[in-house]
Amino acid sequence: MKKISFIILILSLSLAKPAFSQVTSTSARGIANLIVPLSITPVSGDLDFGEIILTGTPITESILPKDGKLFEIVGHPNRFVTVTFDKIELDNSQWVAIYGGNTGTLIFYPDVETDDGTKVYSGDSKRLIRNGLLGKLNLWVGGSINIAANQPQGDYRGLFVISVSY
Amino acid sequence: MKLIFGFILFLLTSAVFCQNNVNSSATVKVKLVKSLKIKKVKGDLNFGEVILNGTNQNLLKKPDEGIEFVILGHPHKEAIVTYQPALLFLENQIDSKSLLFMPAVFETGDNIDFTSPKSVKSGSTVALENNNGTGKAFIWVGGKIKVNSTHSEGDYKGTFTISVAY
Repeated sequence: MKKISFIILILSLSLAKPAFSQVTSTSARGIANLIVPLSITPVSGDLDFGEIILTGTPITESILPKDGKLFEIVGHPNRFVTVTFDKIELDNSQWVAIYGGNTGTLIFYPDVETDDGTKVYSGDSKRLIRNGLLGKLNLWVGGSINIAANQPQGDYRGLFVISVSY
Repeated sequence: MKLIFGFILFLLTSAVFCQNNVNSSATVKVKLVKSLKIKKVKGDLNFGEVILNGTNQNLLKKPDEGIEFVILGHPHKEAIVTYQPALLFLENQIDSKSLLFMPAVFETGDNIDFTSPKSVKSGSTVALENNNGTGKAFIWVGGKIKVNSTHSEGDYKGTFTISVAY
C-alpha cells in the first residue's frame, strides 16, 4: 500500500503544474464533462482583393465579410469560445525579388461577423450553437486595406490567423 | 482508494483540456498593378512638302521614320492598343477634300530600336516586358496618305490618337 501511495505521489507531482492551470476552468463543470475537441476550419471563400490598378491617389479597398472567407468553429454545444485575431501586414517582397522595383507593405484590417451579421472583435466570447451533438459557429472574415498614393506595385501577400479557445 | 482513482482521473482529464486553443489561417492577397502610360519617345508624322503634279500620289512614312512611343505599365501584363485612321484638313477649313492618314503600327517589345518589329492591329494586345519592375513596350507609328490630283494646295493637319488599356 505504501508503494502504491508513493507511485501516486510521484505521479501527482509530475503532473501537478498542468493540473493546477485547469482547476479554475474545469471544476465548475465537473470532471465527467468531457469536452468536444475544439476546431476551426476554413469552409469556403478567400481573402483575395484581386487586381487593383494604382491611380496615384490613396484608396481603401474592402472585402465584405460575407464575400470573404468562411470559417467554421466546431466544439462543445453551448460552450463559449474566445475568438482572437489581429491585423496583419502584407508585403510584395516575393514579387520584387522576381521582377524588381520597390518593396512595400500594406496593413490588412480584418472585419469579422457571425451568420446574423453581428460584428466579432478580437477577444470576444461567443457561444457555440447546438447542432446535434456538436456546437457550431460560423465566422465570416472580410477586411480592408489602405493603398497609399505612392504604393509600389506588385503582388502583396500575408497570412491572416484566427484562433479560438475554450 | 476511490479518492485516489478520482484524483488520477482528474489529472488525466486535465491533460485533455490543455488542447483548447486552435487556429486556422487564410492568405490575404492583392495584386497592385501599375497604371498605364504612353509617352512619345521621338519622331513625328510630318510628311513634309509635297508638290502637286496633277496625278494621284501615295505618300509613305516608314514606322522607324515616324513616331516612337513607349507604353509603361505592369510587367508581363498585356495592353490593348487601339487607334483609328486620321483625317487631315486644310488649315482653318474643314471641307470634303481632306486627306486620310492610314497608320501603320508596329511594336518592338522592350527594344528601343526598330529591331524585329511586329505589326500591331487596332484592338490587339501588346505584352509589356519587365524592365526592373516596370512593364515596357515600344510602339512605332508610320503610315501613308493618298493625295488625289484634285486636292487643293495648302497645309493639311490632323490628329492621330493611339490609346492603350488593360
